[in-house]
Amino acid sequence: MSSVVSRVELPVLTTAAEKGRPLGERLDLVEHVQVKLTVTLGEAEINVGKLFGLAANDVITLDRDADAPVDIRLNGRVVARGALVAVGDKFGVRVTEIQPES
Amino acid sequence: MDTTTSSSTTPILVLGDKRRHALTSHLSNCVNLWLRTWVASGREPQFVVTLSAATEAAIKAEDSHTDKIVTGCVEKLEHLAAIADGDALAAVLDIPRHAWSGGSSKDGIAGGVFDKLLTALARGIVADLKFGPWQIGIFEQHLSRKTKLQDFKRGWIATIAFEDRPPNLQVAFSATLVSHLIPVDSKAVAATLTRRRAAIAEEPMRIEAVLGEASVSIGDLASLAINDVIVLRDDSPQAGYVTTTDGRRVANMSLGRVGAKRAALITK
Repeated sequence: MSSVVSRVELPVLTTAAEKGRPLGERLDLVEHVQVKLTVTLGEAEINVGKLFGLAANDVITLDRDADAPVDIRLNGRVVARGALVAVGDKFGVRVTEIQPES
Repeated sequence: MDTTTSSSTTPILVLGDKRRHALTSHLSNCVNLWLRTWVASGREPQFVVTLSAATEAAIKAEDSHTDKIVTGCVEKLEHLAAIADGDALAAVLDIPRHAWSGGSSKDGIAGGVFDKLLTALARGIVADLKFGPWQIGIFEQHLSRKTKLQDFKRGWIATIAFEDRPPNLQVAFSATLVSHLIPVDSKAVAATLTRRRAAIAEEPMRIEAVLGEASVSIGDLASLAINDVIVLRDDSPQAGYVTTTDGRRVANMSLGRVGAKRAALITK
């Protein structure tokens, strides 16, 4: 048995002047997609010299009060804030504030 | 063994003379070893390595190949180009099979053996780097002008010319692979920084303390409510880490307080 193998020429595609109806924000299409949340505790400003000299047992004071809520970020944006809790032997965050959509 | 370098075009990734020489020297050593092991044992192999930017002009172009062969090459090269920016990759190309038979052009080497031979060379070049077999592509024909080499920008092509066994052999490198093979000399960079340390030491910068990460689905995130608890991922360090504002991790830390303020104790 022999098969003919030929090259496939793809048509040139252009965007039509009149667009169709957009897909819309269909949450059901993406609700299973996993995203990575990052929990940040605060920031500090140091200079490059201090960064180079950073060593174990150094202490850096952050710009947040000890009992201030921590930030829950998605792609760098704060989406919620919360309080630190322990869940078994892991850290967790109890949500206390949801960021309104900007 | 004569080893030279040349470049007729200006690539986006500019290699200084030292790095170019280091790359050609590395290639020469690898080819030498490969020839002695696999091809020309018992003889002193003679070849010249030249280096040029991976522009279309750097690849020998021919129009005479059949569509079937060209299509195969284009598909492979486009695949190469698609992953070249994200992954390091070596590609050996441009070698008519009969050239390495040791006899006339009719004495071709079986394809499987030939591919293994070239794969051995490509693997030798990246031997110190941990790459999977899929990251090495083998091309047996000249690439056509139809090949979209603009997609392979920032790469480099090394041509290995054998004095007594033409034609040449070419090895394509992605820019990432060049960076892996010939890393910037960190000692030299450190020395430069030391000389300028006084000038830059006072430069302020922000760092961020991160406790950890959690994976949630978009569905869960959309329905997140007050008093929900997000548990940090299993592989999160028990203590967090410190990053620069662009996300580079600079130290591990454990959480504490200094007076009323939250604080990070550097642990590593």
